[in-house]
Amino acid sequence: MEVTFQQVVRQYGKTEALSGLTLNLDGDKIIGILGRNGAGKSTALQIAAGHLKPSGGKVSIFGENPFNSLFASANTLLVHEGMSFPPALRLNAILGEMERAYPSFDKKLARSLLEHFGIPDNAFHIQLSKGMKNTFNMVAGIAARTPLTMFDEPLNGMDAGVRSDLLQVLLKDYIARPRMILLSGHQLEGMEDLFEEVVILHQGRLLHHGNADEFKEGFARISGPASEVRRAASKVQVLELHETLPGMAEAIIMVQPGTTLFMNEGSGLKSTSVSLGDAYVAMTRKKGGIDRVYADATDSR
Amino acid sequence: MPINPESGTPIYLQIADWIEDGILTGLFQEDEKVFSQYQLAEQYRINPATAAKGLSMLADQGILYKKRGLGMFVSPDARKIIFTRRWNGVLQEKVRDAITEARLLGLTEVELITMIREEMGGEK
Repeated sequence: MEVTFQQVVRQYGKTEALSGLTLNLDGDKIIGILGRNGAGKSTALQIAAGHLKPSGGKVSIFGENPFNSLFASANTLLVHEGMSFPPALRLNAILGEMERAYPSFDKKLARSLLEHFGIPDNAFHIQLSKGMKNTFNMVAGIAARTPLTMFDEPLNGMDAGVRSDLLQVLLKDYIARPRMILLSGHQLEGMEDLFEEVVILHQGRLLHHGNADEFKEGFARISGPASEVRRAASKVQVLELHETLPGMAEAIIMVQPGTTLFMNEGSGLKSTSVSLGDAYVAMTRKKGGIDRVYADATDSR
Repeated sequence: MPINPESGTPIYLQIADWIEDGILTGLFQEDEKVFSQYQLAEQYRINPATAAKGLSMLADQGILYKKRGLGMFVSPDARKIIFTRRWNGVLQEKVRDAITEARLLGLTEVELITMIREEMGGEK
């Protein structure tokens, strides 16, 4: 296992960001780390990067405790909005320092990407706008090519065009040089089709970890006349059901992979797939009893 | 082919359908190489594992075959296998849908058949 969390707890004063997280990640995969705000995503990534010390439990990255480990800092990189670089260095000098720190850093790639995105390499990091800062950080993260690269909410504040280009570059570079990439977010903004696996955190714990395609297939959205939606929903696990127009309703339901949904002919019901974002949001909705949903979902496996 | 993440069909099935369409229309010929999982991944911006799932599904059905180290190729029986499955499954289902709809509208058998005949004639 490259990344393991065993009953990891992290407290900030009285609040608990992680309450016993157990997670094992393995292989050169792109893995989505999903969860609502406050689910513990950023804390988990900061612990994996060795930036934070857990209050309890065990963490290991490539077999080593990442906290205060030179080995971990040379082999992992966490890209996030709060990344700080020496204020006296211009971007080009920052890239130079990163080249010294990370053996696999590709400075040429980083410089070409900055040029493509119109970020002058003689600027200072603090001068950049929020979107440009995040663009620079993500470019640096891609070019570093560390065996474990983590991006925490990487796309915040970027133009749609920049986002799309960066995801394309990330995918291309991953294909050329496979490595473990963790992408976290609560808004997925086009990342979801890149995931091979998904990890869903909820209230500081692991709610789900598995193959992304299979996870998505476990959900469906049915819509149509309210009475028909209710009838179809009465036989399955419902995560969400609401009226869209008077007399019309929509439900997000859980389906067993490989089964077809039974719908009366001529009932006017339509079944469509659910996006990863909608699926995890429905799964972590407060009312409706997440504990029951989770228990049912895992019992059936 | 545009991948539609909102449709009811999983992306790997959409990839598989698209390759099948390509075989039926002659875009991919018998014993010719099809796109690799990496080419498909870049083209449709999806995880290579998702693309691989679509390809291996076609290989399981005998539509594609693997040459070690070279990639996936169209098997000589591909068209026949796709044709048979779609004839029995997809087309039959669509005919049933049309009949359900025709009944709902109160159309007679003759009226439906006339309609199909006109549509088929109109396409030529």
